[in-house]
Amino acid sequence: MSLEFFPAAVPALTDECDGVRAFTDLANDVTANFLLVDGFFSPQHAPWTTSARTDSSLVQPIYGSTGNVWTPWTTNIGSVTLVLPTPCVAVLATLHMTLLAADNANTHLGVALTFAGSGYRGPALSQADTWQRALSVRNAKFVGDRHVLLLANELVPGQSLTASILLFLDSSVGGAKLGPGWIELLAFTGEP
Amino acid sequence: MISFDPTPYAAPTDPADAPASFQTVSDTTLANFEKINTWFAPLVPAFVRSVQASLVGAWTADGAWHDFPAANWAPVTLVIPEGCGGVLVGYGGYLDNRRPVGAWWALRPRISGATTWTPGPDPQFAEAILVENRTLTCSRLLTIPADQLTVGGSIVVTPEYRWSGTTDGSTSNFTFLGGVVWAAALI
Repeated sequence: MSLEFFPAAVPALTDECDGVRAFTDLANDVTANFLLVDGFFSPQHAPWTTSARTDSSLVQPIYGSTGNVWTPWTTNIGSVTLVLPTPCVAVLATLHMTLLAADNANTHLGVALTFAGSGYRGPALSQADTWQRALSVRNAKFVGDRHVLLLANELVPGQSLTASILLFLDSSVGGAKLGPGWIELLAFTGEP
Repeated sequence: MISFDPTPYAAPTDPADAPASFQTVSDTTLANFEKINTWFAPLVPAFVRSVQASLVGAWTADGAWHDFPAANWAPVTLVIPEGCGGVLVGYGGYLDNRRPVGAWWALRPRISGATTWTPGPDPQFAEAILVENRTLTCSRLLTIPADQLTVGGSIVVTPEYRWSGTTDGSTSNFTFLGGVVWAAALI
């Protein structure tokens, strides 16, 4: 944004009486302009970010299968909600998780970030979309991160954004485990 | 630093010059306020992102780094804004080697343009994201500090892969099912 200072132009002076009036006007305008500058530098105009995080310290054994589909899962990690700042130009979502899928030669264990809430108007979740936002491993143990950047056109400033996970497990005789881990949201403000 | 006018102000010596002098100082005062707008122009962060579509096979299997086909995974271009304090680059993908045949995949970004940043000799970066005989989905971050960026210039982040190749003759066992690369110029 830019400040609209007063006045746009000073009218030409024609005599001394005009000069007195013009002096008063200018004095008032100068004072108003300094108030504008003061308002511009109030804290709400400074760059700032907000963040929220949920943690899981549990190592959660998982048995069975989700039927080869991504299924909502909040058992040991829950979800995290962040009220987006205004304006909000991007959100960085981070999923950190420990995965263990070691008991079966073909076990594929995955977790994917998914977003909801009045603050999210991103594309509907598709298979490709899920993979892009997933952290998965086949027949191994893995500790890693997944970082997702949501852009301004996917967000509604001032509204709530909720991040949670979907679970994918094609089969497990008894050794698949999930956690510990966390989900973190970091919102960036700015002027698009 | 803002250079306000005039410096110094020359007072009129003849009262008859006062109106014109007042006019001048009025115009100058308002112009000075407009300089504040120029100096404190908003610093706007910038974000770009590119998503990869599913692609099976058609890989160059010589172990060297290669760009993805642009139609499948396009590079992203980021203009470095005024006041940029650094660029954060994120990249990740789903690498799937379904056959235990001793083959491996790796993914990394190549960064070019208005930056002096180089990956250096760190083997962790050279491989970036690597999977061997397994399926793996994850992502990594890297940062480019402000003193290695040129404000007003553009950097290009190009995803690259390298693959040791298949030993069973079937590229369909090697799948890159989705990836994302993004860059954020932070204020």
